[in-house]
Amino acid sequence: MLIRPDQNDLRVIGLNTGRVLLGVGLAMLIPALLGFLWGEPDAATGLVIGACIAMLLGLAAEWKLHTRRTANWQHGMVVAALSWLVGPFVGAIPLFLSGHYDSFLDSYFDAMSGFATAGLSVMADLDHVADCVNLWRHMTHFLGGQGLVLLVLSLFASGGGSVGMYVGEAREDKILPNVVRTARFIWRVSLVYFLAGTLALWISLTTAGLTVGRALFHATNLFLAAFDTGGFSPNSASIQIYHSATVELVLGVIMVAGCLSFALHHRLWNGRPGELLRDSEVRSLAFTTMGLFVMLALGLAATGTYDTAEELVRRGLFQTVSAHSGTGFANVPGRMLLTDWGEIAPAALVFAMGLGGMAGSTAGGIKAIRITLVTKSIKEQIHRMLLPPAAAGVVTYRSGRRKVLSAQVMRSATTILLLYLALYLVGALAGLYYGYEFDEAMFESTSAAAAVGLSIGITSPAMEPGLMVVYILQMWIGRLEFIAVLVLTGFAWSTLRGRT
Amino acid sequence: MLVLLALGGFAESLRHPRGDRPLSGSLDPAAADPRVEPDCPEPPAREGQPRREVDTVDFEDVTSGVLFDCPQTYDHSVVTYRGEVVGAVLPRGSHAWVHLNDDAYAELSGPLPTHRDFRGPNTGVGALIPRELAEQIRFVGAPGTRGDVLEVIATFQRVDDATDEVAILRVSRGVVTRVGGPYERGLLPDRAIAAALLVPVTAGFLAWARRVDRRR
Repeated sequence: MLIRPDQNDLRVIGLNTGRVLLGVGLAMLIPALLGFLWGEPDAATGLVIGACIAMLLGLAAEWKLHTRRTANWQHGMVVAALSWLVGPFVGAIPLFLSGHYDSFLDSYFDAMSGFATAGLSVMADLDHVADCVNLWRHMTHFLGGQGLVLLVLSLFASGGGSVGMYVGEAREDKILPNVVRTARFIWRVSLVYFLAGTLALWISLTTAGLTVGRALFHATNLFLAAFDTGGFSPNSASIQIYHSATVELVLGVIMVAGCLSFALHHRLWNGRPGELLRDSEVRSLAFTTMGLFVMLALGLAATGTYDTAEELVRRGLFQTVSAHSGTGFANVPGRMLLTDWGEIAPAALVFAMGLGGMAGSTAGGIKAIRITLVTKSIKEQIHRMLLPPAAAGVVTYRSGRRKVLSAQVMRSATTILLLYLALYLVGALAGLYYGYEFDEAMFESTSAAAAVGLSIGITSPAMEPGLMVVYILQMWIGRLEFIAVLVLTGFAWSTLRGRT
Repeated sequence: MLVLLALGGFAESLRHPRGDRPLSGSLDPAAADPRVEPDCPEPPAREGQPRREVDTVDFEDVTSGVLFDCPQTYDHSVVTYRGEVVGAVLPRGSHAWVHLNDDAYAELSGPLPTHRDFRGPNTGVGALIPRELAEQIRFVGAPGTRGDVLEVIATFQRVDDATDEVAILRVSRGVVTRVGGPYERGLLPDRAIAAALLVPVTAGFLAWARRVDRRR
């Protein structure tokens, strides 16, 4: 029997969702302030309006819905799912007011893409957008990549629902015993990487020919997009505009750092570099990256796209890492992935996008840990068939420490994997419905659902609203890895049909 | 849901009011929609022919859309191309890299948010131009600045062996056909009023919430 949630349940959920909005509003004040300093009063005022609306909604929730009742696990899940719908909504307000979007849906698409760290964009005339709005776009990657809920956990140490919210935002690893301390550790790590990564990019962009001031602006934005595996870039030509292999190399390192889990970062910070070689997920990620790069290279070699190995490695490896890490930077024009790369190389990119980075990182997609677990399970099944029953042993994997692969963990990994495949396919079917070829539709759908951001041209300001809605839902569901969305659906259903 | 709808309506009321839409003329169909099958022309016959003068133009007025749709066809072809300089001029020795946007915002309708025509597909191509031409560029397209428009005669290089860059134009000569300049981005009055009302209300609410929180 379904039990209808009572007023207190709704209060707890509303209060915590409001806190997320308050956090988003406060974050919006940073680019607003810079906008006034940079002489962009119109765009900065748009950010101020967005910030005020977000904060007023948060404060109204604090005023009307305040309760001493603590959130439980289910509340946390619902808060995570709801926050990821309304957070991008308020985040879209300054984007819309920038005057670079045809409709509010367009700006909501970009905001969802930013928060979900997808990096697909329908912004029109990106090359003339105000710097403060451009910074806000990239900040959405940082906020979303680190986690909207994580932001709230860091600012307002929530009660019992912390774990639910944390897990609801597709994070599983408690790095430190306390979720709030874990949240703060993640922010601390990110800020240190931010300083180091921005400095490296600043130097390489200055060397590439940008002025010191512009190089700093680009470096900041590019770091936010690369470390949070987002993929927005300050210009419409993505990173091709810099014509610099050094910039690509630095970004490659930052993208790899971004797709490693924060738990692994914690172990590395604690002086355990050996984890890089021992961790099952890292090994899986390295194996699939190299395997898919070989597939991509063979495809490019078959089509004769590049004459030299140097050209092939620079383009091929960068695009493989960009796709696999879920970042979505392009050092080849998107359209040419279809018109100049043959059939096999783009297929390798689709696989790379679909697989994604490590669980507990900012990357999207199925995640390396699930691939590891499913592969180990298949291997075990084969062993069981070939060996006598007495020879069958326990299957283990290493993630921080050695763990036994239980049937429950296996079922969970397989279920999520299948749900991702279904999500990719549903988006592709939507693309087919709108008249795109299957390969084009599959590429773009996987890019949206796995929060990557590579595009072969379907995502544009001219995209149909229906397809835009499908991609928005894919980004939302893919970012939250299904569970929180399913809990929200169940919660809404029990609100409508449950008994008191 | 009602609150969100109201917010959407509020944002709509504050958007840039300038201009009617659409403003621009016809767009490049290849760049605008991947569903349009590219109609690649026959590549110019070269095999066995003596090396041509670089000013012998194979294709006139190409767009970035057709270059990316038919890279094999246009590879090593001499083309004429026109676009707005955006982003930055990146000096490299005797040359400089520029990015030339040829979408609707470059020439037809001008930069956003000065109008409400959103049909430009954000397209352009990187070009390696001689240093002398780079020195003629006065305005680079950026927030608040409309970039100069360059018309160039260039060789399209699907892969440029000398620089390892892909899909670029190696420019032999060019000319600035339109000088850019700053454009108006002043504060809209209704937006200023909205902010002037919202800021004190939010600040007051925030101060009140902090006081209540301390009491709790």
